[in-house]
Amino acid sequence: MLKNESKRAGRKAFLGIVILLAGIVVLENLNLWLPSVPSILLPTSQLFVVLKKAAVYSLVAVSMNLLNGFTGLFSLGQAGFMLLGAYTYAILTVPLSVKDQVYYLYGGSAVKFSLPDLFWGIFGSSGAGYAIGLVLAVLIALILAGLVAAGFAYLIGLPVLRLKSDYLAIATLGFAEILRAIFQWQKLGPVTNGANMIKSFPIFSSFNIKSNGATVLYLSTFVPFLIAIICIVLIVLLVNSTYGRAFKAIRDDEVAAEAMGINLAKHKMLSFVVSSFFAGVGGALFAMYVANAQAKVYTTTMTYEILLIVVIGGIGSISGSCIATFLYVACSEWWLRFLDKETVLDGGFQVPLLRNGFRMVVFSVIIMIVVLFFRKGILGDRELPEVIAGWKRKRAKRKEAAQ
Amino acid sequence: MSERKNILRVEHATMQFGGVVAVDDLSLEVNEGEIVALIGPNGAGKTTAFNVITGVYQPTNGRVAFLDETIIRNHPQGKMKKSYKGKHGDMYTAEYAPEEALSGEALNAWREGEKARDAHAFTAHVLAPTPDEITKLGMARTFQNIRLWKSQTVFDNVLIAKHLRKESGFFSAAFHTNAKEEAAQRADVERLLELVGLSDVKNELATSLPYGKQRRLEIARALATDPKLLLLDEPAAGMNPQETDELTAFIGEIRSRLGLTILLIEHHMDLVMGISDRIYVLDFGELIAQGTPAEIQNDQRVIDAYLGVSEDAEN
Repeated sequence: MLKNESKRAGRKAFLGIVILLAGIVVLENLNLWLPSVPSILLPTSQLFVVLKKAAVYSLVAVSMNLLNGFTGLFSLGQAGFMLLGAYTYAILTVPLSVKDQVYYLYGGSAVKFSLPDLFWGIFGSSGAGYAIGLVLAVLIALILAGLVAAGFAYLIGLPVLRLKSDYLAIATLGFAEILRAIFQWQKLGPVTNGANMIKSFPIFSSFNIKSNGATVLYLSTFVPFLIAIICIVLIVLLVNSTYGRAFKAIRDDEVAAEAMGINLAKHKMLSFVVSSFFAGVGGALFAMYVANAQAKVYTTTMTYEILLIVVIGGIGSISGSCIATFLYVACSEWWLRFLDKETVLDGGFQVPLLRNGFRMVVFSVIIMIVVLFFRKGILGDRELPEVIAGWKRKRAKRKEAAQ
Repeated sequence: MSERKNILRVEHATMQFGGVVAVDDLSLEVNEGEIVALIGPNGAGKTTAFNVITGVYQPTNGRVAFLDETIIRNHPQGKMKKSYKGKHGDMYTAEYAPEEALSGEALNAWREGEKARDAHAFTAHVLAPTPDEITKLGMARTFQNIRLWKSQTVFDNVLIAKHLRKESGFFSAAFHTNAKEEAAQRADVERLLELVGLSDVKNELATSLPYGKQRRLEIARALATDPKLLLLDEPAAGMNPQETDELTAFIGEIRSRLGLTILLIEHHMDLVMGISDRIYVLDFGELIAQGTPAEIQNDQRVIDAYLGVSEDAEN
């Protein structure tokens, strides 16, 4: 019975994901298919910027939640692992034709190959061959980005995972900062391009299908959604497996978990490595989103941003993290933008306070309110279906009481 | 009784924290099918002894054998040497020879015996497994102050304890290709909850249960690890006499139904005297008496240290 139930839930989720992805494709192509659309549906609109960034951030937030929310390890190294992923992706995918241009300060790159060129060499660099080569190259580069981050996580985890709570946070934070400094080191220039950015690698809009110079199908929002959803589904599967349950046991009570035969060192390391893998993939996606890889972007502030999303969404709730990401990114990139513009109303009345930077003030206040009044985040430690089921039960009860 | 198979043998276990010797030279044996109680006044070192046996603490000195295999051994050489206050400082090291100056045949025979009992005899080898490794060997425990996984349901609390018996690897579990094993584990948990009488509340949060049921759940969770030896740390703590009676019956039942061996710490004398086959009495870390319940009840040292004089007068 239980098996059927979980199967049905799985089918439902699958259907939901397919509908969501189809919806995204339709949404971003409406401007091609309809004669005229409101400006919000143009491919350059803020809506798609927000959707892309939120898709990337939700993956990173969920990966952080796996560690902080499900295993109870308070780690602040996420930006560091993102940086590793971003650079791995960028270094491997800059096409040979533009390499010298990108690395002009260092007289060319030390990495003499490039994944897209490798595959274009096999499949041909025009038409379908180009597309297959691009997809394969990006896919492999994303996986390698994750693996590099995971490998580093393993090495760092060996000494660091002995620490608890705040100490672990400080150690991982320090690691992220060290990485950021190392990647900007001049001597590593031929590989990392020093403090300059690596660019010209395949990005989301490279996936838009073009014919004769005109785009015939936009996929630049679909791609980050697809990748983020696949990764998040993998994390959900993990969380609901016997290992996920062991992680939760460690979070709830380490002593009891160990006494019940759960190897703390092994499981903490597993969680740390898996979380970092997806942070690495997320970092690579972020590089695709901003169209460059630059170490100075992956600051502590970025980790805090993600931590904030996790806290707002609910520590230990994957759907909460996703919802919070979209709200957070929409607020910071779009809905609150008007606060940054000096506005003069019709009567010559200048609206007070509105000026550059005011957005962040309002934003901080909103966050404080959220943290004060939704202390456990939007969803607490429950998932969306549970919460909805809870509402339904409550409403049914109220109906019963009314009768 | 000595015919029976030995399950647990603790030899000269000493646990020293700084200047305090919490457990001093404790030796005890638990044989198959027995219920053995470890009693003593507050602060006697009972829970510390449990923590030594289950690997939470590494003993300062001593050896623990489980199913005739040495699983824990340590000695106070090295940095502990100067401050060691226990009684058997030189045991379990390379140089050790018994005080009673055995010689010739007798010494050799003794050496052979030691080697047969402990693969690392006469070496300075230290065995310090972590609690999870010991649980995997087949020893499970409960806690004096209940330690359930608070955010999990009753069912999941027991299911998580099955984690260590899984055979599928990480990827097979993470991609849910181990459905058969998962189903088997779930069926096991259902059966176990039936046995301990918690089936009706299996979907409740563990912490929403009344106290007595939480205790039962802790026992169920320990049973889920398929132990041969169950260690119960004050299972009746905070229970009223009626609940204690129920628990006594329950422990007897799981012993007979699952063929378990049980070592328990308890303060409720009714429970201890009612179900124990043998009793060890600790006071200030030292073993002051051992024997059957009847013997313990009449032991003057125990009465003085623990049961009190007025109860003696009643007897």
